[in-house]
Amino acid sequence: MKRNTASSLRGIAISGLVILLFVGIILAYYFMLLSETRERIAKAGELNAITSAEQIDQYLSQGVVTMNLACYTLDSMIRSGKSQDELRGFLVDQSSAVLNTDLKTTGMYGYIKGEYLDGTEWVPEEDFVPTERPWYIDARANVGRVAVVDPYIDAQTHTAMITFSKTLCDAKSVAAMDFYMDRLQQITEKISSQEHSGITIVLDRKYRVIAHSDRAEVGKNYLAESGTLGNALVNKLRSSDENYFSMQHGGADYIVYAGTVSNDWLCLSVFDATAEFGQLRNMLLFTILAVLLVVSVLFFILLQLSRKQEQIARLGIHAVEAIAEAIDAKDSYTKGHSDRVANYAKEIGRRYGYSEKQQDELYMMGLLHDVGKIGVPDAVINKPGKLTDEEFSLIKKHPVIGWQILCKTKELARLAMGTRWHHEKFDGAGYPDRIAENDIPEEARIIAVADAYDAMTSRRSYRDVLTQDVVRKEIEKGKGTQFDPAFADIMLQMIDEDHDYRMRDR
Amino acid sequence: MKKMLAMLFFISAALCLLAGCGGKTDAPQSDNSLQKVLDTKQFVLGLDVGFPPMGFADETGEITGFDIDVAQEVCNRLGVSLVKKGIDWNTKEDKLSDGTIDCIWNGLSVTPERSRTMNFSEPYMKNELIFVVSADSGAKGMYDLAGKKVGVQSGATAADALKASDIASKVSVASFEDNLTLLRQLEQGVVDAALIDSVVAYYYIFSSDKQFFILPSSLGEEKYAIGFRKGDQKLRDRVQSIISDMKADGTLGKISKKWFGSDITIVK
Repeated sequence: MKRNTASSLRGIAISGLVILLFVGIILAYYFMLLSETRERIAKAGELNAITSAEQIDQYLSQGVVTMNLACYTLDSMIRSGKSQDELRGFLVDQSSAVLNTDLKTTGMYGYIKGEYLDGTEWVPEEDFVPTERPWYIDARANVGRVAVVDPYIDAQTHTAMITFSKTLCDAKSVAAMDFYMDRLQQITEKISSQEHSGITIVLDRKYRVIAHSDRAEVGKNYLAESGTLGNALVNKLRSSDENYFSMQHGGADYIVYAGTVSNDWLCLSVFDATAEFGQLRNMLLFTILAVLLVVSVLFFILLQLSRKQEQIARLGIHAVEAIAEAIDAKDSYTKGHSDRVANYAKEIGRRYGYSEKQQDELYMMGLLHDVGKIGVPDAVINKPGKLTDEEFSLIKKHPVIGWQILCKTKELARLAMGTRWHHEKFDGAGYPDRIAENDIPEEARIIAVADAYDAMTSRRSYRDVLTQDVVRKEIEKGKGTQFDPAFADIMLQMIDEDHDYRMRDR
Repeated sequence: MKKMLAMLFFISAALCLLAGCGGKTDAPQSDNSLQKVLDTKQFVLGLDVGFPPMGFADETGEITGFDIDVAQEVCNRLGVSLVKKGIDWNTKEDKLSDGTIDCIWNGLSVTPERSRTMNFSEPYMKNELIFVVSADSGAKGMYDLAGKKVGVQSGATAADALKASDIASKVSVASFEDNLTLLRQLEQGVVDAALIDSVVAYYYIFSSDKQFFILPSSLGEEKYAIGFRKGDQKLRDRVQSIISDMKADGTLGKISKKWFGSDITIVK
């Protein structure tokens, strides 16, 4: 009974395993799709990101190249010992030259050989100290390379500008040129207005926003912020070595490209992939829900089925137990006999190494072994005195009668061998078929031992229960003649372990 | 029922494991580099004391500089004391591998060759190799140096860069122990030009009364990083993460400002 439940549960577990495998496959497929989608968006964005970075780099590079060329000339003039007026003259020429280029600049100026020289003919105010201006300090800090100075409010135009500046050959003079920030901002906005483009951000080395497709972001310091998309981007940038990555922020998915533009500035292209990823995630959720639904329905059906099975099995056993009781009731002295034989037989089977299923069958066979007594008149069974030969031959018919009864029911037929051959003896002297040794089915040989044992340990009209010692001797005596020695030995072992002589009719 | 539930849990756990909690392999057990520094409570920094402004002895003999300030802050945050050990730049690799010092932190340029013997931190600053000539020199570009004597620091990347340059066969090379000696030799006319780190050259010239000129051509851009022993991964990672924190909280920028006037570090 227990075993039936266990086996159906095992069935459920196996189907559970199969379904989990399905879920595993679905998950694996999902992750594959996810990375594929990411790749697709990445590919679409890559070209755009590269183009954006190139455009911005090109714009900034123009400034760097212009600076380098002008400074080369200035260096040469300084080395040749040109006068301050000649140097100023060059700055003026250079300033008007750059006006004709794409660069939006006011012109060139510098602090050369201890004097402020201006190519735009701007006259500084009294308190103007050139060596304290950021363009001078940054040029010096950048030891000979063109410095892209952090945006600042220009004293001359009072607007936000970036400055390119560079130290000259004497390590003390600096030349500089201002660029309007709005030109860079225009480029950034124009890039982001194109198709397939995300947010474009230009960051300086300190993660300050130099240009952003959303103008309101310009000037913010993303490193100092907390909780914003900008800050999340910077944190990811700082921890990642890749120039492209995906990240989540505020429930949205982003794919980000980072390119380095002039002088270690960063150009970021940020693509919002929330819609694509969300679609995938919904698909996954739906599939898993569907699988779970199927699993639950299956689970429910299996559980119902196993409950039904259990009921049927219980019904069968109850019926057989009822029959056994009916048989035993015919003889006042054999009350509980079938039940005890069934239990002894089962124990012998257990000790012999029978499976639980085989043990249960032995038990049933034990219950039914005397079923044929139904066909023997009560008068014969209950006769107190010695039986006549005729009466005894009637008794000897019960194994075959029982066999016939059981064989009529398909489900009980396999239990009939215990009924038919439990009175056979190992040496062939038994009845009804006088078969011997291995010709007698093993189950019948077991029941034979159990049956004989219970007969001796039960009260009879003519005697009381035999003593354990006598019973033991009888079994020992019958070993090899009446009983299969293997099962007789097991019975003897059971007797020896039964110190209080509990195995008897009480 | 219980059995089956347990089985389900087991299976889902197994699937989870398969799905992606792929195991990370731990660093080799033998790497006790960080523990050693924490246990001995000292971090030994190797430097060539003639390398202003990265690490050098000032007028009073005190070792100071940008690298030293950063290293001191790192040590403060580690809770250990900083030991500044002057070494001969020529033997820096030996001093590192024999355990005399824990790191080389002194404007050390990253090169592929050094990467094979050292474990570098992330680069933190840029540098260029430039030619410096005295005020009366007629050389306006590096090709004007043909037939001249060019000084380099021994054991520095400059010597290799010069050997690989176009003018290698046309100049004679003189090696000096440190950069300050080299610049003094240039001042006295012992050499006609010095091939030197731009970071050192600009700092030296700016703080000196003497007039020098820097030639416009450079022999390439380099990056400075800290050199640790190969295998000292834990120490290197810890120092790197502290420097990263210092970048975020502005301390690194402050130290850069002190020495260079502006934040020129390239730490991410």
